[in-house]
Amino acid sequence: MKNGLTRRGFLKGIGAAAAAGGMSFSGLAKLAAAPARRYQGLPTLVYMFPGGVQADVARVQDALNAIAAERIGATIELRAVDWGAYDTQISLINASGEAYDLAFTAPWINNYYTNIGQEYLAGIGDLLPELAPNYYASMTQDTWNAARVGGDIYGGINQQIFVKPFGPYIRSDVLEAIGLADAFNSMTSYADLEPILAAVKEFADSDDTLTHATSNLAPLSIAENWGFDPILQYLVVKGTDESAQVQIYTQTDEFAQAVETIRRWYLAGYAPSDVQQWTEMDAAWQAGQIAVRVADIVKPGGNAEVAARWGWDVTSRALVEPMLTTGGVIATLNGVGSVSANPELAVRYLELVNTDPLFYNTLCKGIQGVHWDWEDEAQGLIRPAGGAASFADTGYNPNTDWMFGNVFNAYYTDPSQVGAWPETAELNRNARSSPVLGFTFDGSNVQTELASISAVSREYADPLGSGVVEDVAAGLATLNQAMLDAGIERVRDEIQSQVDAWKASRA
Amino acid sequence: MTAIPASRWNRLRGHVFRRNLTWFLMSLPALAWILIFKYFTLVGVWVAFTDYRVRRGIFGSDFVWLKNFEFLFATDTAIRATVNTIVLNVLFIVGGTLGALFLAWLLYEVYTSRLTKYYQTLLLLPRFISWVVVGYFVYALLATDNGLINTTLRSAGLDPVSWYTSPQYWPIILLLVSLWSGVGVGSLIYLSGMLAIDTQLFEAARIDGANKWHQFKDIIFPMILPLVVINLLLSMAYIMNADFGLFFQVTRNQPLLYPATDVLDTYIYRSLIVTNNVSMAAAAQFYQSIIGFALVITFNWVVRRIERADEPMSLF
Repeated sequence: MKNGLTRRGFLKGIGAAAAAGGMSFSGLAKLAAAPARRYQGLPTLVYMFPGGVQADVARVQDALNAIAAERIGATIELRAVDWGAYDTQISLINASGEAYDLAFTAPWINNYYTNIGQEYLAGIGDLLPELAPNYYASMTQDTWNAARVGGDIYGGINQQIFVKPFGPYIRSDVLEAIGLADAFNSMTSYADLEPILAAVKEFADSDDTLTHATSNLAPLSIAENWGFDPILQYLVVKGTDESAQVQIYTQTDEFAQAVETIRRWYLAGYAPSDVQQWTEMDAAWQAGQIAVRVADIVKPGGNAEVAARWGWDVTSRALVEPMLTTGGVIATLNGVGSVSANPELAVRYLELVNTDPLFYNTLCKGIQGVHWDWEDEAQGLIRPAGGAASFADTGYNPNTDWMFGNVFNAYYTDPSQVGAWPETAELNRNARSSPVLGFTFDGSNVQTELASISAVSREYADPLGSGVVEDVAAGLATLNQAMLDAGIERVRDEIQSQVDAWKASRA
Repeated sequence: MTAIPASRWNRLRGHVFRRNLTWFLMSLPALAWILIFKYFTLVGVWVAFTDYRVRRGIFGSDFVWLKNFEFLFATDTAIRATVNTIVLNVLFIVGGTLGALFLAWLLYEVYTSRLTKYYQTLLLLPRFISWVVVGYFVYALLATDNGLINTTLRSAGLDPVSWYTSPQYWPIILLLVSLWSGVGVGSLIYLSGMLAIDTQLFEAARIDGANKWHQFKDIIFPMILPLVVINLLLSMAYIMNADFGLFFQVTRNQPLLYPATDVLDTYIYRSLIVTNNVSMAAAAQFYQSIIGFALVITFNWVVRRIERADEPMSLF
């Protein structure tokens, strides 16, 4: 009897230890090679970011270090962590106090605000103008203010598309087959998408591989589609509202209209009956089972990026007036770890990666002659080196330029992209500014409410967003009651008072 | 009872240790694990009562009393998660125990067969399949458009069921999946208990005309009852904890199923994935553990009251 117990405990122990070990070490085991011996004596900057480990990372790292050693007197160590594991792993690293110098952070992964609240990131507002003068001068004060929390800046902003002009993507071959290219390219609202979805569905019914028009309708319920600036997911300010009244998104007419549309499209069979998970949606795209993404960010050069990722040529059309929001500006940041031994060097690194095209493109695309060659140097257009069919076959292709630095310095990889960067910069410049651009919310007073809202919204809002709720009106009522019970009004009032104080301080 | 002289006690202790040296060595990793991960970490309970900031350390962070526990009781959703956790766990404990006992009995009856080892292995295997994979097995059966079950229903002229939007079926589905996965391991423990029973008892019973059911009811069950009780007592400690993989992966985390499948672990995950609040996570874990602790103590006390002196079944 006692033996039985001990054995049970033992097995349990081994199991749990294996599970814990597997979780924390699986990604760490895939670390990049340590910097080569010849740079010994120079400090090493450890850079953590999400992504697959590239076969040739050691060579690329050597090439980067040759530049970095000379320019900033430091070497860098690239630590890619699997996308799915990045959040968990960086939390563990933060919680354990392990040192890193730079890490990719954003409101949507490795949460920027949590990092600041927990003091995981160092304030670099004073260092930037001094140690990264060109980088700092490349963006306006308004832009930098978006990254400012409590007076200090905690991350370097990657210049890229700051606005989120949402709209649908469609596979070009399907668009041609249904013969509605003109209709697609002249759409002005999501209502115009409906006949196109119907035509795609009809086409899918007679096609062998295409199973549905789209995989998930939920993106249509995202607040940015309807002209809101979401301060939090469900607490929004209308872009045209100069008085900056904070609204509960699920109570707006726009949300109601969105979920009604989604339900109608769901019933029409434009998406699978069972709600798909993100990985399944990507797989369905790659397999050619679906042809439309109902709402995504439509940006210059975006079609080529999607084509590279999913292997299908696509056509897209923006349906939303672009708006500059805090969330859009700080969608991609690189922060300096608060336990870094060399914060000054880390800031110098930010200057290097954001202003030196060679260094930046080596990080993004690899080494000239090994991973890429010039197709047209005057235009900044490259092709895969050594006759490789695609960049994915060259041994180094992170395909995440936007994560590493200023994408306006990136070489184009497809002729259709040429000219996309000046076009994007123009888009950023001409966009309407959100009435709360530069405002950031401090949620430390409403932690309980935020936790409850998170739990409740996933239960009642997500099914509405995917179209599986039979009675939309009743579902909306249930959702809004649950949101009230979870304390969303207290959060709204807290945000409103912070917004008002922020406005007063700017006046 | 007379006191043992110290010198003799030392000799005896040395003897016990030497004789069981192998067992002590074998249990060492588990003991070390328990010491490190279960006792040393108890200090961390303090985190549940503070506004924890890593850089300030556990004892440098502000003390906030019970504020971190509020979200566990703030909404109906939180209460429902607590109720679901208890109800489903009781269902799993009862179903799992009955299933394991029955299976162990079947295995015991064919134990002399050369195939026994294969049965055991086959029954154990599901335990080693990740919940993510199990989630897809279940999805292949239950998918609305082309799942095996709905395809069968349709070809039989019946209406297909939208499984992933119908919470009422899920306590049973989850019980079946949990049994499929866990009953093999559970049965091994009971089987080892049954094998320790003196076979003369069965011979005597057969001579008296007892059939298989009588043998189970009057010999096997009473003989392994202490094992069953101890297993039940140990399960009590985890009654507030749900197997996250089972409830998250196998249900595909479908919100419409939450009324039946949302348990504390999934609720806590959903609540804190946005705020990443370490203190609130610690508070939740502490709450789950303290309830389990109270239940173990209570049930142990009950067992002590009813057990016979010559046949102890309580843990302590």
